[in-house]
Amino acid sequence: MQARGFYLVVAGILAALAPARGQRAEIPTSFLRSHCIVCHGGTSPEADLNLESTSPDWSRPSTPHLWEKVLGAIEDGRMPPADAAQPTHRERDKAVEQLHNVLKNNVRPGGTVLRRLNRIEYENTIRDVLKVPFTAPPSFPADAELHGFDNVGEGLILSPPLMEQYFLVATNVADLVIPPLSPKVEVHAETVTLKPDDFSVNFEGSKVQRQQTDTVLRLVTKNEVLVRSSTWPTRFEAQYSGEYSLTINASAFKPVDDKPLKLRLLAHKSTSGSFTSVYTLRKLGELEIPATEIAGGKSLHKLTVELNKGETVAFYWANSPFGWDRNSRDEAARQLRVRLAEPAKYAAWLKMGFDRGRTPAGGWKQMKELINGDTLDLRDPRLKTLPKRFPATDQNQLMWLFEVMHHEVGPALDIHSVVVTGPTRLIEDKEARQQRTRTTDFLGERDGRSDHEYATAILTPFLEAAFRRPLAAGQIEKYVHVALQHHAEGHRFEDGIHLAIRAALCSPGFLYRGTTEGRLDDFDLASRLSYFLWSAPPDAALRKSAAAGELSHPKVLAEHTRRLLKDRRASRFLMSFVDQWLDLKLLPEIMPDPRLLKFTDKDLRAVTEETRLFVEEILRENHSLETFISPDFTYLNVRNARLYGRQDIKGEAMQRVSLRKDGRFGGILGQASVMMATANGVDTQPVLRGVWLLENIFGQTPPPPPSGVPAIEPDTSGATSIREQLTRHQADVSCAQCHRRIDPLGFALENFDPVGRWRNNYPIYQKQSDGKVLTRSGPKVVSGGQLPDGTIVRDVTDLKQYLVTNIELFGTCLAGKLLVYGTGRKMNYADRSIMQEVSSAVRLQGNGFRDLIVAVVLSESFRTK
Amino acid sequence: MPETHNERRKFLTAAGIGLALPMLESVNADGASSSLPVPPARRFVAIGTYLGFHTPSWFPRKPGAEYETSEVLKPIERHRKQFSLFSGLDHRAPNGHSNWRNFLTGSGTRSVSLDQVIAEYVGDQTRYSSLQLTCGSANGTGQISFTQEGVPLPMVGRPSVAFSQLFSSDSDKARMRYVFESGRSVLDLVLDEARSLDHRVSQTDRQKLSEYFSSVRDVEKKIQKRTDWLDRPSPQVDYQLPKFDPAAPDLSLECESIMYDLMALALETDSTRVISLLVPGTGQVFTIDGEKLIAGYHGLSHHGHDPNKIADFNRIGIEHVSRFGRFLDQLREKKDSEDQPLLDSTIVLYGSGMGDANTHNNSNLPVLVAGGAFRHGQYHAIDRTKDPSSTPLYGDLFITFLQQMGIEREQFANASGNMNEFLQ
Repeated sequence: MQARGFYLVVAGILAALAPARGQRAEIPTSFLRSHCIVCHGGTSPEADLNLESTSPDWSRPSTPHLWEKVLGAIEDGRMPPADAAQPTHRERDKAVEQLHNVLKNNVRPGGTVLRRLNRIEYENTIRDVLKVPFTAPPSFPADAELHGFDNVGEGLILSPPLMEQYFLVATNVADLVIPPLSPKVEVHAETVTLKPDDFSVNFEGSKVQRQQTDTVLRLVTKNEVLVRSSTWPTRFEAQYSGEYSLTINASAFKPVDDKPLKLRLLAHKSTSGSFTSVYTLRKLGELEIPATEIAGGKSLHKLTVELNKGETVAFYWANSPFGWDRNSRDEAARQLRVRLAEPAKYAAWLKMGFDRGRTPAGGWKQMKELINGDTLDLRDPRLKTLPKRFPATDQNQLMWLFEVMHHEVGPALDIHSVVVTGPTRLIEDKEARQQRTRTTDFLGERDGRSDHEYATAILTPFLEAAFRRPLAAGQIEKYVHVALQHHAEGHRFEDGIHLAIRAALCSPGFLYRGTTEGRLDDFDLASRLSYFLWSAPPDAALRKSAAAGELSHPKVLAEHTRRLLKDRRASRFLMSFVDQWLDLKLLPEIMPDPRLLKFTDKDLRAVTEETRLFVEEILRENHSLETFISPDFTYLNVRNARLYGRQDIKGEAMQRVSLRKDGRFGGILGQASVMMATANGVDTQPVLRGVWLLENIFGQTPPPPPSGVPAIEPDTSGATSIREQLTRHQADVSCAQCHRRIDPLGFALENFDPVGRWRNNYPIYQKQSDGKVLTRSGPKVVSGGQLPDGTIVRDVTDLKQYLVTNIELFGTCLAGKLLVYGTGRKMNYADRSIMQEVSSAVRLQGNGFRDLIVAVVLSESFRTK
Repeated sequence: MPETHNERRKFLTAAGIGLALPMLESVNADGASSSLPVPPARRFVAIGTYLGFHTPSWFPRKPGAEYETSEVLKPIERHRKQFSLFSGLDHRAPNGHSNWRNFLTGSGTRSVSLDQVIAEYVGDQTRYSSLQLTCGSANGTGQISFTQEGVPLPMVGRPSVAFSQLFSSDSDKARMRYVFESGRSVLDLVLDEARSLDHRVSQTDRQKLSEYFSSVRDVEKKIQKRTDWLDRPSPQVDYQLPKFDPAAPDLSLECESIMYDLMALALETDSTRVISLLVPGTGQVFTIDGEKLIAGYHGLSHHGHDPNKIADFNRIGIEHVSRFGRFLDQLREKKDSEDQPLLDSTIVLYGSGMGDANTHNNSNLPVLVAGGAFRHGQYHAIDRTKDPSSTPLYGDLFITFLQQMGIEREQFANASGNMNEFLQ
């Protein structure tokens, strides 16, 4: 209900947002003359900033930013510098007011610099427009980040190496639509005889072994992970997609019952990873090997299979009595208990102690020796009850050891040789079939049309989709001409189309977006919206609304925005925006100090997923912006739960967990991801966290630190605390200007260690004589401080409270972040008042996150280039 | 010549290569570098084994010129006057498999690798500015070469692919020629498109669009250059590849031998002057001299000080080093355009980004430098317990390499010194 009337409220407020026209607004020249131009004037002005001109040229894009900087410096007292004569309060206020009016009158929202597609957008655009599978090659240069995001026009440089990649990739992509004619090759069937020597033997050599001086390849286990139990020839792969006939000489070894042994044949691309699950591989057939031992092992089985180019045949013993699937710890334990049932074996295992970790073959040899010796205590009470589950290391070691045992005592499946003949017939593989369909879909039927008509019919819809707008007058002719000219030079008609596709993919209309000046037209608006929420070009529905001229209507625009947000492609927005706004993308590069915490990739995933799932729910449920700060839920698994001191969460699956709203943890000020991203893995730096909060939560950008000030080196001996080192910020007036805003925020989070755990004391590490490191409790953490408005924040809970009370600060900040990401530009003076209006309008309507995104899209800032 | 070389079934006679050689002089059409003095080293090869070596079996016991050759280095004893050994070098970077990549980049974050820095300077003089190779499918193993932007460069792991790239027949080239020649009309059209856009956009956007114009013109020049290369026939070499690519991990030692042969041919034919080779290692179980090793390669690298595992790990190390030795043989036999042994003007860096394989520690790396007109024959043990500020970093060695190639750089990653005193 609320949502329906919502766009009207927002649209109404935004329409009222006109600049203060008529009001006399001039640069405060007398103030500048008496206080500024002594330094910022003349031929070599300080900081290269000359304030002598009284009539700035507002058409230059740099002018608004320059005067905003001047306003900021005067407003917060950074300028004139402390050692210069100071203006009176009245003088300063007046100058500030004048500057506000000047900016209000002269700055309009907008100013996005021509924006090239970034890597993800480029990939998605190619996929969507040409319907081909596509990933940019690793040789693609990475995109630079500016103003916190990798999709800002100014930051996206088109360098010569990138253009070269565009040029080369365009051909590869066009090949996927219209493949080049390949010369006909004469294919002859060849016969390869594969001996046990020619098969892969992996890992510790216990899974698959060559026996009896390499005349036999022996399988003993089945395991979901291909490489852990299967084998495949290393010297055979299909050179052509086609039919191959196999003659397999295989037999049973010491079978325990009369059930036939099932030898499953799987298609395996030999150059792809061997850790794949056998269940994902295409089944080529299954042989039933009789459960009788045959001397010399002559038991020939014939089978014809279809292999695609590059594939080989993997052999998997599908009904091996020994083996288990990934993560099936209970089945693993059961299998091991069966094999340990004989008391002497378990007694030997217990006695092996440290030596268990030797090679599997060594382990089995030792176990046998112990069983045959007389040192085992068979009355050990532990032998009565075998473990329900085995620790992971024991489980692996036991499995390997028993694999060796089975190689010796059976049951096992022996492969003696495999003879492959082929291709006896060529086939069109899946790839070739898809390729053919793509070509016919793209070209359509000629229907007796002339080359010119046919080419126009093919290229017009393609170019409109590629350029995301109707074609300019004469534009189609250029592409048709290139295609037909090529045809006229003796190439196929299709090659001409191929060439036109290549040109389109290198053209500025494809690589850049948003070229109309001022207010976006419907087509550029459609693009801006779909790249904002999907990192992809507009879909058919958006293009239709744009073509009908309806998209700029707030109601239609709001509906599309909600539709796009509901689509699964909105996950691209969540990933990309959240990872960049909250700096989750930094996490993989931060390796926590092992003295602090043993941290694996799984921990990293849990910590990252928590934040992503958290934001996803806020968006999906349209929770209020306050939820970001003080939520009553989060997402945990056993891994990140331990960071928050919670023992009650088990398992690797992320689950939604309730939290106390006013607690320490939870929300973007209490999640481990943010705490990690704002530290360096080793220690915390309150200044860095403070700056981060200021920029990403409070929406203020402090000026860069003065040059020549060294970074704070934490004193690991614990003699002086970071706080003691930072007190000099308050002593020095010029430092204090910014640090009174920065430091209290950083110190509010100081109880969070570099991985987001709560601490009351700093750790002190002491290296012992044996090389081990002892951690003891060091100085007490003194958190908190006084905000510039006088509010005392003792720790993170106070800071959360402060932000919830002053939620408009965060709302405006988030609106700004969304706008920078959506428009690809830095926000200017006019944009900033729009950000405030947007966030106030949304607050009146319940402050929902989804509503905020809709309001951002409806705003003048979003809709202006 | 060692007998192992003769035993091989492949034919390495490189008859007639001289005629097909693209001459250095003819390439420098603009005369840019012809007036400069020729630097002592003109080629660079870096080889890294992914799982490293058992360093106590690699480093000799005593430093100096009279060191006793260690177990793993025995196969290259005959070359000892042609190389220098170093211990105590590393980049002071983090540890673990993923930090292997620091081998040539010197820093934990994304950055450019040494071979690519060199390729930037010498790359435009040959058909390929650089070559990145590995043995078989390098699935799941590391990366060795990184672009200026820190993007890992793909490696060629199949001998047949590397061979056809280097010495491709005319039919392989026909498609490339088509792409380049037809590409001219692509670029004409897009420039026309950009010009009509240029009239419509704001002044700021026009500045942005100038990036586009200059990039397209740059690509035009590159295409011209590559078409010129296509016009020159590929060098013809008489080399017999095996019928089947030994791309499977189990066959990586076999693949390694072939890659070395192709590297030597690539340098001899001046197809490139910069090569990196990553010798991969995963769980494969090798069979050496008809005997299967007791565990997979990766398992052996985490030997846990088990002498049996160390012995088998060293057997693999010795296999790598003897292949490297045969590569050095080839570089000493083959001659450059001035009829001097290739090795004399080729810096060869051999080692690993892995120091102690057991703990997968990336400090105190095994480092060997051969050729490159350096002074060789010594084992230099860098004492890391001394004042850290006066202890050379691995990156200092890189700076010495760069200078030997006439590239004036004072800095590489965290290093800003050099190790000239050890090698000159």
